[in-house]
Amino acid sequence: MKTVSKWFRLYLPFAKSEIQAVMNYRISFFLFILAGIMYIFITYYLWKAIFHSSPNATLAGFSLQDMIIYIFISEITSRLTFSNIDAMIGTEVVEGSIAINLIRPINYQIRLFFSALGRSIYQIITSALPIWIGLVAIRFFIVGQMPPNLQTLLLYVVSTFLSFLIMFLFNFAFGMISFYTSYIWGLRMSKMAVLRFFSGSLIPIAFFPIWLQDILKFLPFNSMNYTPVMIYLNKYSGMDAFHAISTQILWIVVFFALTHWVWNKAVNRLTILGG
Amino acid sequence: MKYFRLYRKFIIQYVKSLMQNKLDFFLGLFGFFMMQASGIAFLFLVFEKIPNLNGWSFDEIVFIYGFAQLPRGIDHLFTDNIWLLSSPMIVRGNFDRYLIRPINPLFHLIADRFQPDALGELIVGCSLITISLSRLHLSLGLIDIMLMLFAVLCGSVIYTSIKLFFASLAFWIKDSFSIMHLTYMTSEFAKYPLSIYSKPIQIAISFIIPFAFAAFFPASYFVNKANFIESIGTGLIVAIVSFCIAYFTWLQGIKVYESAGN
Repeated sequence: MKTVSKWFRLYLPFAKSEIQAVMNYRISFFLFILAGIMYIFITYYLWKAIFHSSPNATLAGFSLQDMIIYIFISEITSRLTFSNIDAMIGTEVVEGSIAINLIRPINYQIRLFFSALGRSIYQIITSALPIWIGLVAIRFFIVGQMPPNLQTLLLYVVSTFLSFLIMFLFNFAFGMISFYTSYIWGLRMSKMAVLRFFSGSLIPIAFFPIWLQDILKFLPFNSMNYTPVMIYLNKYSGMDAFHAISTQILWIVVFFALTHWVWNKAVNRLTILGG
Repeated sequence: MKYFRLYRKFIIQYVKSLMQNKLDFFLGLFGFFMMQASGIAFLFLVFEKIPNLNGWSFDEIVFIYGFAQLPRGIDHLFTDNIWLLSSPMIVRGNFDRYLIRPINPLFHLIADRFQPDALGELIVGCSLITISLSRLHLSLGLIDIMLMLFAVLCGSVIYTSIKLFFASLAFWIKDSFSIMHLTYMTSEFAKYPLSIYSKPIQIAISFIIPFAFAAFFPASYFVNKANFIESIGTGLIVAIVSFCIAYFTWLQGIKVYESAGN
């Protein structure tokens, strides 16, 4: 407990400075949020047309109402779990500032963790919460739909936090690539495309062919975005939710071990380069 | 003629500098293909469940999607430097150098950068068009191909004009990147049939930020879903009008431009 509070004292400034950095560009930040919301609306109209063109009221187990909530919650979740620390590591390696950060008496990984945390907290306050409140209000007044109960919401929050950890560790390991090559920009773009598709943020995994769904059960993508959204939608209940959350924890352990291993290898290599 | 010769010189210089990081370029291209592939995979999965989308078949939608890439790609290939005008060119005072040479400043600005990343859009666009046309059993004659090139040209002008207009706002507000990004994003609406959107959105992307005339309208002509006048004919007028507005704004902007410093 004592170490945890020491951590917070030591690393909280990194979270704060990250928030301040984004705050400096407030107007552009809000315009980017607006661009994101616009994207949600394109998806919304697309799905509306898809359901109207369908002879069935549900597709792959989703009704149109489910789908609307899915689009919004999926967007909110990916905003909360998004981290660009792979790009941060890349910049620091290219600029060489990573050397200074390594000799400081702070843990590099924890420092980046707090930067990512700061960004997510800012996202909660400025976009996730407003969008969510707007969604719940509109659903309540127009369709008369109640928000999910407290237990579901709590489970969603827990699962989203686990997704955040998975994404953080995954991006940390990914950022280590920049120790080996400076061409991380193109790789990041491929990574984003793969994640967007297989984590279910583009289309629910339930729409995939069965064989692909079976393969994905053994891969970490489900745990990155799909699990919290399905929990919010009450599609996972009881044992399903328990099973999905355990899977998330398992992936955190795996990725944590992976980042440690890659980190040690990468840092040793950096020393060699330094002469 | 002089401008063509100059442009060739500019491009050769740019390609030389680009050759230094070929790998990054190819990885970027690969990333772009992955993005587009996921978009098509999305449509494919959806069409497993429905017979058509508001009366449009899978192949027709893929055709619009592919066609939409072409004007976007051409504009991306040639005029990417306009993005830098929106930010940070004005703030840093870098714009000065476009004014002190004896060539048209807009030409100079555009010729300064050549963006081969756009090959991604052009390759994806051409492949999707070819595949969808053959699956639709439509074959285009020479006139159709000429018309398509013309429609793509008009569409590119629309793209460039919209970019130029919003980038030029930077002459007044110093940094217009985020507003330009926001409007550029609206082009995503034009990748799908317009009828799926509500009326205000349809009007907005047809006549306020007219991306629909750079993608959806001309594309629907070639799959026999629109007549010539309402698609390519109107597209030409929209292209001319938007270029005039954008160029006028740009000229006004240059007048109020005061460099950095004192």
